[in-house]
Formats: sequence, C-alpha cells, structure tokens
Amino acid sequence: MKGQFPKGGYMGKALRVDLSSGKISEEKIDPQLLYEYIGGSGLGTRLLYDETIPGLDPYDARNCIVIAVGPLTGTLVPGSGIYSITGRNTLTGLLASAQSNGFFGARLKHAGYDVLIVCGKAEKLVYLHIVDGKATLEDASRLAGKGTFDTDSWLRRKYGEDGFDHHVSVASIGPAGENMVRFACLANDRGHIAATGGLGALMGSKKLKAIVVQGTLPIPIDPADEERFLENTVRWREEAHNTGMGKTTGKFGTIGSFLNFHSKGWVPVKNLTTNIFPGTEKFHVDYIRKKAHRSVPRSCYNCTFVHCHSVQVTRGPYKGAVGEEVEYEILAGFGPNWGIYDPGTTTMLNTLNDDLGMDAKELTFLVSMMMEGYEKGFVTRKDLDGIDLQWGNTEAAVEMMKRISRREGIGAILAEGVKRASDRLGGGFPDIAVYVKKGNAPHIHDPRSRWGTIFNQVVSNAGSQEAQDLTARGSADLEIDKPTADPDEYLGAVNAKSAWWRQFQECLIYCYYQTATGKTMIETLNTLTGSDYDMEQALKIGRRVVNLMRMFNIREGMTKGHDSFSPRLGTPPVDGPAMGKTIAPTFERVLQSYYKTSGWDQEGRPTRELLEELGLSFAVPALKK
Amino acid sequence: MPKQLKISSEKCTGCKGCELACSYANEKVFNPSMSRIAAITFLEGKYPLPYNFVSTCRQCADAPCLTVCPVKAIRRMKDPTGRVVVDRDSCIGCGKCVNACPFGAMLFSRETKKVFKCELCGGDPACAKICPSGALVYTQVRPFHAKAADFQMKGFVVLSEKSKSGIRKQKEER
Repeated sequence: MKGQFPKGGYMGKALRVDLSSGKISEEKIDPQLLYEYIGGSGLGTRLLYDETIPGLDPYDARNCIVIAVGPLTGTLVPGSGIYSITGRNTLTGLLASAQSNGFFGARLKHAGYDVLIVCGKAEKLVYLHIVDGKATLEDASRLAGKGTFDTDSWLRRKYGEDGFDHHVSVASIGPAGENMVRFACLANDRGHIAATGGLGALMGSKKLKAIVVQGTLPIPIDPADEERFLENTVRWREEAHNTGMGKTTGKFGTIGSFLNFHSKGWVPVKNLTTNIFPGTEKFHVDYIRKKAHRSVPRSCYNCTFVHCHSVQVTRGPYKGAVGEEVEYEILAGFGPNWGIYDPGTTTMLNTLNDDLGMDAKELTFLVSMMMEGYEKGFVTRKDLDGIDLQWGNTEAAVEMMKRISRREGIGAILAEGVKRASDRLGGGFPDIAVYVKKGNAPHIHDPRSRWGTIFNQVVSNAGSQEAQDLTARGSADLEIDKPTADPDEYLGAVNAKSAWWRQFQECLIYCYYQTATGKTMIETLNTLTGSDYDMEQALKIGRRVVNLMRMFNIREGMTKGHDSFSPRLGTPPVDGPAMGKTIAPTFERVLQSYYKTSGWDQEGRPTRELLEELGLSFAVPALKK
Repeated sequence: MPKQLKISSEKCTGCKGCELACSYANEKVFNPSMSRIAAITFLEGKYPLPYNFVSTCRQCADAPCLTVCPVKAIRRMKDPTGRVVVDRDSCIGCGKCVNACPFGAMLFSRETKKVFKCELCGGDPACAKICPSGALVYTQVRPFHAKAADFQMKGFVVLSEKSKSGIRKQKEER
C-alpha cells in the first residue's frame, strides 16, 4: 500500500447493529483491511472471522451476519448493484457466502455504509431502516408471516415509491425465514435472492424481518484519475458484451443454455435417476420467450444487457401467473427434476418460492428426493400427511412447499434440509439424497459428468460455488486454454487457480455476467480507488480469501471428510449422453492435485508458512485444532 | 428541427444507468439523487409490470418554467438545441418553476437552495451515450409543447389513472 488509501470508491464506514441491546453504532473500517480484502465476500469473510466465536450452534444469538459491498458498487461499472452476505451456514455450521443482484447494494452505499454487521437477537420481530447515515430499528410485528413481495410493497409504500428523490430497496425474509427453515433465503428488490447457506434462517433466528436502505449520499471518486476511470468503465461495458457469456446470456438469459446442457446430460431429471425426458422442445428459449410467456424487460442496477424480464404465463395450466423470467437452474429444478415439463409451471413455482423465501437448490433436491422415495415406497401417502407427491404433481409440490415454509407435519422434518431429512427419515433415503459437503445441496445441475461443477462444489468453502466452472471453456485471464474434459489431476489444479480468480471477482463484487478482461477490471479498480493492484496481487488477494475461508471452516471442525459428495452423486448416470461417467474412481487423485496446487497438506489444511505469506498469521492458531 | 433527447419509455429496462451518468457528468459524483433524469420504475399493479417511465426536461417550445420565473433566471439558449438553462447566480430559489413544470423535471437542491435541470450536458448528453436499450437517443425531434396534445403519452395515462383510482378509493372510503 502506497500513500493514502483509499482515495475513492469507499464510504469508509461500517454500521454495527446489536439486536439484543438495540444499540446501533458506526465505525470506521481500517484502510489496511480494505486494501487486503477490497470488499464483498473477502471483506465480509474477514470481518466475520474476527467476530465469530468458534463452535457455536448456527442459531446462537452471538453469531453475526455481515453484509458487504465493494468499491465498484453503485458506480457506472456494469452490474454494480450487488451485495454480498456472509454468515454461518445453518445447514453445515461452516461458512456461507451469498450474493444477490438488484439494487440493494448500491442503495446501501448511498445510505452511507460499505459494511453492515448484525449481531444479537431481538425480542420481537423488527426491521432495520437505514437512510443517509441514520439507522433505526422499527417494530415489524405487522409484517409477521408476510411473504417477501408483500413485505417489500408495504415497506416501499411507507418510505416512498421510486422517483427522483426516493431510491428505496428492501431485503427481507419470508415465512420460511421466520420459521427458521434451514435453507431460507434473503430476498431483495422483489425476486432477487441471496440463497446459499440459509442466511435467511439466520436472520429469522435474530428476529430481523427486513432491511430497508435508501440514501442520497455521493460515492467519491479518486479525483486524480476521473477521466481514466470513466474510460475504463466504458471499456468494461463494451467488453462485457463481447465475452462468451455476454453473447449468450446477454441475449437469451441463462435459459438459452438449457438444450445445450441437456445434450451433454447436465440437466437434472427426476432426482438424477435419468437424463432423458419428453417434450424438450418446450424448453427451447424461443418457445419459452415467445409462446409460453409474454415479457417486459426488467433490469438490475446499471446492467448493460436486457436479459432479465418480468413475465406473464400465456399457455398451460398456470396461464396468467406472473413473475420473473426463470433462470436456467430454476427451470431445471422446478421442471424436469420434479417431472414437470411445462415452463409456465416453473414460473409459477419460482414466484411462490421467492415469496416464501427459500433456497431453490436445497428445495428442488429435497422435494425430488421425496418424490423418488414416494415412488419407490420408502414413504407412504400417510407419512406425507396425505399429499400425493408423485412425479409431476404440481399441486402436491405447492402444498409441500407451503408446509415446509410453515414447518407443518412432514414439513418440519424436510425444513432441516436434504442431508438432515434423509438421515432422519432413514430407510432408502440416504442413498438417494443429493448433497455435498456433508450438508448442503449443490447447484441445480446433474453435476456427475460436469467436472468443473461437481468438484468445485465439493471442495468449496463458501457454501456454494467457489471457483470457475471450466468444464466447457477456458479462462483467458488465467491463461488456461484447455477446458477440463476429464476428471483427472488437471481438473484439480485448474480448480485451485480459478478459485483464486473467482474469489478476487467476488471481492470486487459486480455482476458475474458482466465480466470484462482481467486487465480492464483491475485498471478500473485502480483508477477508482487510487491503488496499484496488478494481476499477481489480484490472484494473491483471491488466494488469501480462499485460505481464510478454509481456515474459518477448519476452525469450525471441518476435516478432509467434508470434501465429499453423497452416494447418489457418486453413481454414474444410467442413460443419456453422459451415461457411465463419474468422478468417483479418480476423486482422491483430483483432490490431492487440488490440495497440492493450493499449497495445502494431504488433509487439505493450509500450512503455517502459506498463511504467514498471505498475511493470515492471525489464523495460524486455528491450525492446531 | 432542434437536436434533443428522444425518449422512448417503452424501451427502458429500468437499469438507471442514465441517472449515474448524469450525476457524474454534472456533479462529478455517483449520486442518483443529484441526477437531472430519473428512470422511475413502477413495480406494482396489473401486468405488464414493471413499467418504466423516463422523466426529464423536454426543453418545451412553450416552456412554462421560463415564463413563470420572476427574475428571468431561466432562458433559452440560442444554439441549435434551443435548450432551456438556469442561471444559478440569479436564481432566488422561489420554486415557482418547480411548481410550473408539468413533468417534475425542474429540481430543487436542498444544499444550494437553488433549482437545477437538464441542460443537455451543453449539447452532448451523457445519459444518451450510456443508455443500453435505446430508450434515450440524442437526435433531431419535433419541438415538444407542454400542452394537452403532447401529454398523450403512455406514462401520463398510467399516472393519471393511478391518481384517479386513488381519488375514487378515497371517496369510497368516505
């Protein structure tokens, strides 16, 4: 760090809210921390590491939630409305780091803060209102039990609709969060979800229903480099259109990849029991966009694409339902994975799920597990409280979702997540459950032949994806031109390196779809904050964050055994294009290659020298555990 | 024909990039509340929603703000754009123009206690350069009049319906 830092980009302040005492205080963030972790997930993880007492139950009041944004948030950099939320994963007790798009991040910054730390537990349901550097806790008893959409409407009506002077964003939990469903999520700006790790349940355990942010404070820019910063953002906006992701996602959204993924056997069908399903033509992006729905564009903050839409179903049993255009994963998860082959139905289910406030990953593999179990006779209709949970029975799925969110009857068991529910139900369930890391469900793919995805999820320390999935493409920034076509040593090495780069991107905290070249991104950061990062340092920051996440988890008792997948994920697909492929036989070799490239020992633990080199000496004591 | 901002609200995606570009071009900060343009997003009501409405100065040919100003601080530039500008030095902050503008495009700064408005960035508007969807284009358009005929835009129909239904609701409640 040279001279004064930061010269721009940061508000420089953190807001600490202690819900137990109701005390709200403001603190300055150490510039050294900002330099070493930049912001977003990195800064969040570091602050959480310092705040956390090891070994607590996730629902212990002493646990904290850290919401962090980065220097680029709220600027002209494309996709700059994202925020990152970190906390203890309610499913595994390890670290959870989730991100969500929309407008919330930018408005948190305009309200005056880079970081929001929430500790303690309120006596009754409250919400937090932050405006122009002033924060208050308000009674939320009349919002109890309300869905995330109603909560958003009520609060935005109270604090002003959109307009010249009112820029209000609401992040809230739904009934699932209030009832501490272990995979409850945080939803902001009507349908943008920070899903991973059950952080909504964590908020529910603290009785914090919602966070409202609005503000009119300016984000400073390094005055010396104003012109160059603007040039860089313009270049970033142009480059974002020309990446592989910009060309496909920018035009067709993520659903544009559905048939491509299906042709490779990557779409989960019926809880991974098969890879083939009828009526694939209904999942063509043209059919979904032109025939099954009508749509109007709906963009996140400062997005240069027009890929998100607000849609209404025009065909099928749920004609007239409205919601966000589904993402690929939701389309697969609430579609083929439940034996539902109508895209309109997935839109309806997605809206319901957003309103109840649950993580779609965990939910889809939970319900599909029950459907398979019901088909195979592991449970009877009586066990399911009379719900006829057959493949493709939408009404039954809806009823099941509502019961899970209320923890009613069988819902109380399922609300514990895939791993816990399968253990509790016993019988054949542990063999058919889909989860990784001894606790959380993977992203909604059939990852068994998608090496980048399965390996990435298994070794991830963040509760979700940690590295880039390079199964089908290389990475120009990392000078990796060969994709990971096989589960071998190369996969492990590539995964380790791409994790460093991905985590650097998560520290920058911008929309992952709007990626520019590494050079442009680093230059934009330098001209905004007056820093002097280069590619080498960027990778070091990413590596620092990965190792800190690892140390957080090791401190919580994570062992090599956690880098594993459930029995179902170890079996090869029985049909389809990926038939017979599995990572299981070579997994140990890939894992050792990953550990070796990461600089860890054979048990997946960072060495003392590595931690010291990365500036993580404070984490060394946790190695002794 | 003057070169002005052509606004097609129906193309707007609501990304609010124009607000950032505007506040940066005019105030050298990123702060949507200092923006001269607003992409207002209506999120609730009947589908199709969200409905985005771009609100900014239309540089009206019969500008009401210009006529009501008691100190003649507002004048029309004699360049090809014919844009309406505010002389901040002579502005007394009475707010008459803010009331007179039918678009809510005349803004009041709480800090300086004076008004400010879109002045087309001196003839090269930053918002039009950044707009990703083509909702804002800087081109030659027919001069705009702040009278009824030109109000037949979707945005005002929606807005007036909204306020009408609000009034009706109040009456019913009574």
